[in-house]
Amino acid sequence: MKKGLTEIRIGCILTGFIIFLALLSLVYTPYDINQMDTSVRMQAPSLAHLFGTDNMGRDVFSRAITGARFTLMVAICTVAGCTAISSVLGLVSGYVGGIVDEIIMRVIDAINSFPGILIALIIVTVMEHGRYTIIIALCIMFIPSFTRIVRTGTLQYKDAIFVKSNRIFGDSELRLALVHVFPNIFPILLSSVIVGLSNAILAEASMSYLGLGIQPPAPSWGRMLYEAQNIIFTAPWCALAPGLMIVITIVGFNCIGEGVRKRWLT
Amino acid sequence: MRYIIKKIIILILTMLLISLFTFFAFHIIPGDPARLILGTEASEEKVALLRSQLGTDLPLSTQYTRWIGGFVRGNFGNSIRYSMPVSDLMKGRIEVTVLLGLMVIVLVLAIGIPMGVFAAGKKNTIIEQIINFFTMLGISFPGFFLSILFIWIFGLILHLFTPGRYVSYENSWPEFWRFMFFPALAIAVPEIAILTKYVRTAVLDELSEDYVRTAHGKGISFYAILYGHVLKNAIVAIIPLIGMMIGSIFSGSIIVEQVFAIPGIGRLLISSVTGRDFPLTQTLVMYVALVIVVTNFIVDILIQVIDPRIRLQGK
Amino acid sequence: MNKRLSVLALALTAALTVAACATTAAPAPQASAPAQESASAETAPAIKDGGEFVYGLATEVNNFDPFKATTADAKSIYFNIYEGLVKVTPEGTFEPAVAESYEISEDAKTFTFTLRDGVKFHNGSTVTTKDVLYSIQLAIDNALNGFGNIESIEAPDDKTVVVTLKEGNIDFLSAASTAIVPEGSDDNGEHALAPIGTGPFKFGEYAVQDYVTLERFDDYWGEPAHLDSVKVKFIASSSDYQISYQSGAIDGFTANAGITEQIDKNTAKIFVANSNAVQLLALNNDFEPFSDENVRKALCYAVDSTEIIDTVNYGYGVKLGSGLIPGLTAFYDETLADTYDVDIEKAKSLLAEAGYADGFTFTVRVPSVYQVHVDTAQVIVNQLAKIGVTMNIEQVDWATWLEKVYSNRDYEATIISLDGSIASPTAFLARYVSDAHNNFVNFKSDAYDEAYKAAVASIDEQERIAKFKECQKVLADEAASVYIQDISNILVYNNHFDGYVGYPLYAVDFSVIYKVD
Repeated sequence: MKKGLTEIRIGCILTGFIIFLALLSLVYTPYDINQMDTSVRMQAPSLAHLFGTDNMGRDVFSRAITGARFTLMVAICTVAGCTAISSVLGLVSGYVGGIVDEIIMRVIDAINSFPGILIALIIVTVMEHGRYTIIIALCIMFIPSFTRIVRTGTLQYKDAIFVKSNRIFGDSELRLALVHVFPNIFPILLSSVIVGLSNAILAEASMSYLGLGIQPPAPSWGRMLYEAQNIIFTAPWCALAPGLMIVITIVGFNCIGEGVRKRWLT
Repeated sequence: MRYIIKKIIILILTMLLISLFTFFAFHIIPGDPARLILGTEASEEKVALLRSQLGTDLPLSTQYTRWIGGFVRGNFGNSIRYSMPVSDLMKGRIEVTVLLGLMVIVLVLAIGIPMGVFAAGKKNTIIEQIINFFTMLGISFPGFFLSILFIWIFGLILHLFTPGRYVSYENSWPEFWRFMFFPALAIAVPEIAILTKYVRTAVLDELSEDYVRTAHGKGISFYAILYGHVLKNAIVAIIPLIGMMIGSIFSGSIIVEQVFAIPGIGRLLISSVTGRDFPLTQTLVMYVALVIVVTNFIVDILIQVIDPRIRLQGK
Repeated sequence: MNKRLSVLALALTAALTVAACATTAAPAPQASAPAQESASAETAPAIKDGGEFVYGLATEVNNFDPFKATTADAKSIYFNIYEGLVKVTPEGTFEPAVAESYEISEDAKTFTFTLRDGVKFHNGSTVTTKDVLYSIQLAIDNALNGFGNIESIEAPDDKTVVVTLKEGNIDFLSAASTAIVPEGSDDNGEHALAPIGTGPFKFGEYAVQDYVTLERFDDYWGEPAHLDSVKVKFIASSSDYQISYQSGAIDGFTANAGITEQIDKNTAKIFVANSNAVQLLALNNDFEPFSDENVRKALCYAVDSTEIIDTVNYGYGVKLGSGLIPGLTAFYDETLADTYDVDIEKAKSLLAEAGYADGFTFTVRVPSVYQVHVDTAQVIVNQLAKIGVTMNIEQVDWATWLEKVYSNRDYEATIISLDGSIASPTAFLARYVSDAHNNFVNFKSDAYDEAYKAAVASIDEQERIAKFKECQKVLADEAASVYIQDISNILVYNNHFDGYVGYPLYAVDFSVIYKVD
């Protein structure tokens, strides 16, 4: 059997399952996600309510699969946006070097050592509350670490033998950077992407603390976890459902990442 | 040497940039500390009175120059919310967060390195698969969720510690460590998983080097090679990684301090921002920035020392 | 004492009889939730002195200056450290404290206080008239409510303090419960971290974001406290109450109603009390659809307070129809709670009349620190959907809320609980006067302004009551906002302690709590 194939298969099954649930929520949920019914408050999981109900009698399963949609969207948009921006910044910084590198790295350092909640509050104030303001805030918070990774990788490879030899053959610097240097940074970037997805899901939850996350009554996993904290002992399923779905998703992403790395990148 | 001096000047400029960022951020975001202290019921006159006592009614430039003037002379000003000097407030809190961080690093190294080496030795066995599975799981648990689970399982079911009853190290070191072990573990789990993977890869890479094969050919035992040469080289390769971990350990501790109610820097930072306590936030941000910037600086240098492929710019 | 005075005093007693209603008449909507569950009286254990009580608090108290710190939780703690010339009783009346007796003149302009002999401060010195004058001056300097009305203060002899008001106002007695502190004790702002009062507990040790301890004051002039000490432990968030309680880190706390479902009632005592605050969906009367009275009325008809109380507060709350708390029994008009019974058709026709037959969309800014308001908002979203109105929720942090919503009135709607700093209807109703500085709902009504002015100017108690009731009626009839409820607070503490007594204002009286075996 080819290397890494098992991991990719497991990963695809897990993420595919979550994505399937997220898509399912577009057309069908067992209950209306906002329907409250105090007569079934905090009920344990049963056939009627697969994942039980929360403190306002809402169906946790319906909310968790709808939450998958909101959460995945936030996480994927954040990581996609920040990977794109960071790749450019990191490549430029590492490749061009000199004063450009210095400026980019100092600003990155400044953002990096800046408390995330302060960034979030500024973004909200400046942008007013868009529905997805959170994505922009998270993007900015994630750019520093991604940029650093790309830059370190660039520095590592820009003077590598195979790059030098291509330079001798007359490849333009831009081509060298994009075709020869960047693909080599890919494995390490990939693992950052996966950690990033996990962090984005988590950060969305912490931002709910300041009211910046997805706004209620729309569910997101982070928000559900946050709200479940109050009732963790009486109704642990309210926290376990979104919590375990996060874990499954991240394990899925990690498996794919691992498989891809084993199969194509080593 | 000139390179280092240049780096230090840049470091100072970065800190200045950060202080300006924080200052203007604070004046963009809404919120009046005087109104926050006095609440909705207080009359306008009372709020205005407090504003002038706090000095928050002065022009922005005056406030900034006053603050920076004090800062360079080592006077961090008075906290608005806690009505005591910021330096007094920081004392005893830095220790808590640093001790927490140290415990995390000890846990990460003590578990991560042996486990990585062990995993490398068990290549292509079922044990490798099991370790792989656990590292995968370790990376996948959000710290927030893990903290709640730890409180529930270790605190309330197994009674290994008392959630909500933080014990200061000034009162009892053993009790302090007993309480801090679980928050530290919550931060450490994903880092341990990452380190295990890295060490395993680094050891395997090293084992495939020529000198190992030569040594092997000379009849030197596997473990002698492993501990004599391979491990040393592998550990050198992970130093930058540990440097980068400092940042994520700190951000992890912000959340964990909040969930476990530990009076450290992270919790103070959150409450200073929500309380619009400018002198306190500014000082805390500068402190955190210094730690991160200096760590990055050291990592940069280490990477260059270790990896000859990276040339010093402008040498 | 003349006859007029006793009439006034009686009326005052009636007016301020809040506690009895607040603590015992709290609704017990589910049969299984009696107002108080405690060890039965027949086996009442002997009071045992000594011990430490650990009380959990989700807001940190970080300033102990009685003239500055005004968060509800801060007040509830320094109730034990400081005392005024008079002191609020569990029934909501005022009894002499640092003063031994007081007299109020016929026109309610002159208040004469006679000091009690030998009242000691925590620093050992004895209270003199100089201390009282200093304290009142501090209150005036800090612009505390009620002190702006003072014309003069003097001490004719070393036992007597006379306060003369610009305008007669019997409410001043509630202001006289403000702390008495030693002369010169706050000249350098020492109160914030080293408070000195005359209360049953003295300030012990303070650890930022961790705890503050109170120690029994042995030279207290009155009944000394039973406990040796109290440790007020600051909890990181309200969700940690249960964790800390269950783990034994705290002995008691006050929380929202949801806690009743989660605490083992066999090992805990549960107290239900009104929070004495008005929860409302505040509508900015200057915002386009809400400037139309019919639109506001339509929302009143659509919002079902009972459903909110059941869903969010597990039934623990008193439905309201206007801007005053039920705790102020003499002034409260309970008939207004039913002004708008849920009527979807009526609401729709009112909207159509106003030109919004197809509904409209607005945003409600909710302070994210209060989960109860966020949850209320989620229920209201569903209720308004039934009349075609879309409400979007926007959570903001508390500092932002205070500035944008409260101070700048830059909002469309918000959900909040409004409280009063003193047990007086003015504390709740002054904010609806057209030009009031804190009229953040921008309510403008000539009828209201007139009624309020008459109420405040009157020193005849019956007229005052009538006029304040009229104010409430105008608020309800003109639908100033959508009034929801007075949320109930739940106080929980474990079986090792007993003796808790509720108060109509923010106060947790630790001196009456004692340990049992």
